[in-house]
Amino acid sequence: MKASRTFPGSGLAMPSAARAVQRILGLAPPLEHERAAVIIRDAILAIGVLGIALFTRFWMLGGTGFSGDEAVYSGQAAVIAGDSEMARYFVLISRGNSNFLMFQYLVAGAYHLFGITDAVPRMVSAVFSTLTVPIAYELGRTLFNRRVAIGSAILLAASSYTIALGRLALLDAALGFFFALSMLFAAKWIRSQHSQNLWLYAFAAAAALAIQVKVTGVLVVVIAALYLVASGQIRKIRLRQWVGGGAVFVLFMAPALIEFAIDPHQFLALLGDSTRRLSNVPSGYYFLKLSSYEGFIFPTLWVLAVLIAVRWRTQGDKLLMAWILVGTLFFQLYPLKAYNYLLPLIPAYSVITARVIVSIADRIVAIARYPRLARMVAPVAFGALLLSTVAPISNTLAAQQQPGLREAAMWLAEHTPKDAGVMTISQGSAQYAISFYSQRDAYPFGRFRLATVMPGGEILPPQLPSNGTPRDWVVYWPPRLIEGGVVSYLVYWIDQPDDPPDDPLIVTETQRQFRGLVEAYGGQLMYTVYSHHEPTVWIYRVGKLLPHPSLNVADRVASKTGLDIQVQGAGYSLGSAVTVYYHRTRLGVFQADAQGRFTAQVRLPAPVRSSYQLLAIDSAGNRAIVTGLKAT
Amino acid sequence: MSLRLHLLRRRRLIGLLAAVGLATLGAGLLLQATQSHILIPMPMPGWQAGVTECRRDAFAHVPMPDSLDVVTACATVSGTVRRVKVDPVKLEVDILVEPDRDNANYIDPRVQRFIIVKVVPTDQPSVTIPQVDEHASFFGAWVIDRRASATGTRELYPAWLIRTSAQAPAAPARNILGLKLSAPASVEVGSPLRMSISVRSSSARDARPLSEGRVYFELQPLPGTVTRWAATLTDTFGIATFNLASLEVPGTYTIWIHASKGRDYGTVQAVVQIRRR
Repeated sequence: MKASRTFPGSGLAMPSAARAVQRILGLAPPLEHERAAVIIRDAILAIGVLGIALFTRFWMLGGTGFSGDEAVYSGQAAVIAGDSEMARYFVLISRGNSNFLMFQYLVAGAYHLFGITDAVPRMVSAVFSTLTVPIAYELGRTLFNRRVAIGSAILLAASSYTIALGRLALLDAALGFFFALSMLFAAKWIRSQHSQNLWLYAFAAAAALAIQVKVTGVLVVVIAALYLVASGQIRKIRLRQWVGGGAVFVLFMAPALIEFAIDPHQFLALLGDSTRRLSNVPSGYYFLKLSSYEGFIFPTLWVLAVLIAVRWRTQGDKLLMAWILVGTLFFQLYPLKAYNYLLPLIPAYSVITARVIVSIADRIVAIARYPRLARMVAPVAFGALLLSTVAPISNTLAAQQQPGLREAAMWLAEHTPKDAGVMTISQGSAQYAISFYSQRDAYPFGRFRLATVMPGGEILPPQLPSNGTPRDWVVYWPPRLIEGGVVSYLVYWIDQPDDPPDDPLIVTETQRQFRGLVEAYGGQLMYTVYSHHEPTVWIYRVGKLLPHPSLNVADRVASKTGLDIQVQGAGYSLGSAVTVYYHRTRLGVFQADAQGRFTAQVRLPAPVRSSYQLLAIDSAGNRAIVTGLKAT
Repeated sequence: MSLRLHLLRRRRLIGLLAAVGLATLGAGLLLQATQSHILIPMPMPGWQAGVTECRRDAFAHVPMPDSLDVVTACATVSGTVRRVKVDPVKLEVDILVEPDRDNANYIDPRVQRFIIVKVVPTDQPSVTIPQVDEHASFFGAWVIDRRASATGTRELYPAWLIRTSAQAPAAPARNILGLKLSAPASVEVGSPLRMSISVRSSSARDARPLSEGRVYFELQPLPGTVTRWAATLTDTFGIATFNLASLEVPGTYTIWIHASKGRDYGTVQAVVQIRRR
């Protein structure tokens, strides 16, 4: 009976071959004696969809090394797992207050099982991303029917955006999982007419876990509240249920509350800094970003499906619409935008799109002249959509994030002294990838509104100007760290290179400034990382400690033949030969020390005139000039 | 009864959605208003015809022209010079001009007090730089420089002709500087590109090293537009050195070197290959 509800208009006799095809595709309703076949068919479909999810999320997972953010989370997990070396570079606090270390604790558990490698955190993410697919299935089944469930699972499993984030050791895959799980429990509780409190408590627990993975998980509570208010169901909830749900929520939030209680001042200071972050992106940023992963078919379908569902507005539609509305509005309005933020919304978009496709197919069947043929609409649609994902998925699997940083860091680990400091273009966190792989002190370069964890654990807040982004890691720290000998290697990297190369290697102002830093400090190219035959990372060794050499004159003693002076130079190429001239007369060659300094006693030949130049120049052409010297 | 209830719920849902939508729109507009600057359209200077030609490629030797918004490629402004300074990095001559009353509305007084006029090194031999407090007319491209400030400053950049009422006609520029460029024929992408330029003046009988000459470097891919710019001064031996990082797309490039001092100038070029490993 249940089957005939799920597959309306199914009692028509049909040729056995067509029936067989439809059964395989999940179109034809099963007869009583066909139940076993239905179970097998569903199992095959489930295995197929799960196979797609597993393959796309796990294939070549370690092809490229960590990006900066991945390194931060993985490094924090390593600290939790007891790696004392990592404790120098990573602290157990979120610089942007975006998370409560829940994901890191899970990764630390995986480290205990498999050891500390960069594959482990990504596997944890991939597992969460894969497990979200059956949740989408169950959500579709709970809110609608089995066909919607299968469609939802297919659409989510083949979503390139979801795949891309499921392959990274970021928080988003775990957040997406707990977010969808919370909504599933909410859906089940609502479906039970609020009678089965177990679902309510499960929702409270899952919501608490989602928040601890990433604070934006709090949106599940807002979504549920909006749904309950909009549907009027909030009045049906009894006080006992509120108290029970609240208690479960607080219980599962306990780790975060303890974390906050340990250092509330630091937490609030970082929160203050991070809330001022914003992104200067166009208003269509998210649509374009999603399209860059999915192509235009999926995002356009999602929008159309939402518009259609607004008109239909069943109970299931309303819950999904609340999910989509709250999430989309929040991320669209929130000043800080990032490509990974929308992941928790994709299960909702997948379910609502599958629901609309199946419902439209059913309506076509109801009015079609050839209903048997019309029943092919839904599977053909899902099949076509699946086919359309081949290109985006292959692009996603081939794409690399910050390719070569891992290899560069490994080169540094092998070829530089343990105390060598490294500076790299940060974009907020790339320096941590260097530290993770090389165990070298790494420092950022660039403009970002985030605190910096210095090697050793000190947290430097950004120096926020009244307008614009901080410049302390462009103009203040780099020269000081280089002059002080703290930083002796500069690492320049670019995002995915063109093949064949076409785009310039220097595009942004930060890249231009970093190249200026390399040039100003006499950067010597030590190693280049190539990815697919194209250079992606360059490692430079600092060649001098000042951007411009300086020259000072002291101890002047005049004589009949000239003027005896002591010359002190600094900022020359390290260990280079410096030639000193006076009015084009060579006075001698002197060796600069390991800091690029030299001191020399020279005699300026008579006549000494203030217009004549005292010039000290090294073999690389770095020079300093002093004029205005007088004989007396 | 149930139909009325259903309608009520429906209205409530629609009302709630409308409220959320309106609140969103309001918040979005407020956010946009507080975070962005409202650009006020300003009048732009015209071109005084018959004095000099409007350049076809006004930005040929301007570093990073992409950072400039061109308002008009040919413009004339006039005013009194308040400051003349040489940019120590780009070696451009920067002139601050207090605009004449009828030119004052070309700039936003909240952003800048003076019109900024810039003469690039390649134009300096042929451009007469006025004295402070001198009145002059300036001919060049009228641009908004986005790098100078968050809102952008309005500048005449580059200026290729300056006419003053007091000055006598300037002597013509002389192509008498001899340049010798020493540069590698090929470098690996990213590695240092070191060039040494020897500049000698042939104005005297014996060519003498040119001290304190302005040397301007450009790197141009074949084919393509210039991708790198740099400037430096020659030392007492007439030698200028560039130590650059060749972070450029692998390919063949032309190195252009322009040297000048006063009215004297000279140019040399060479080809360099930037290659993969």
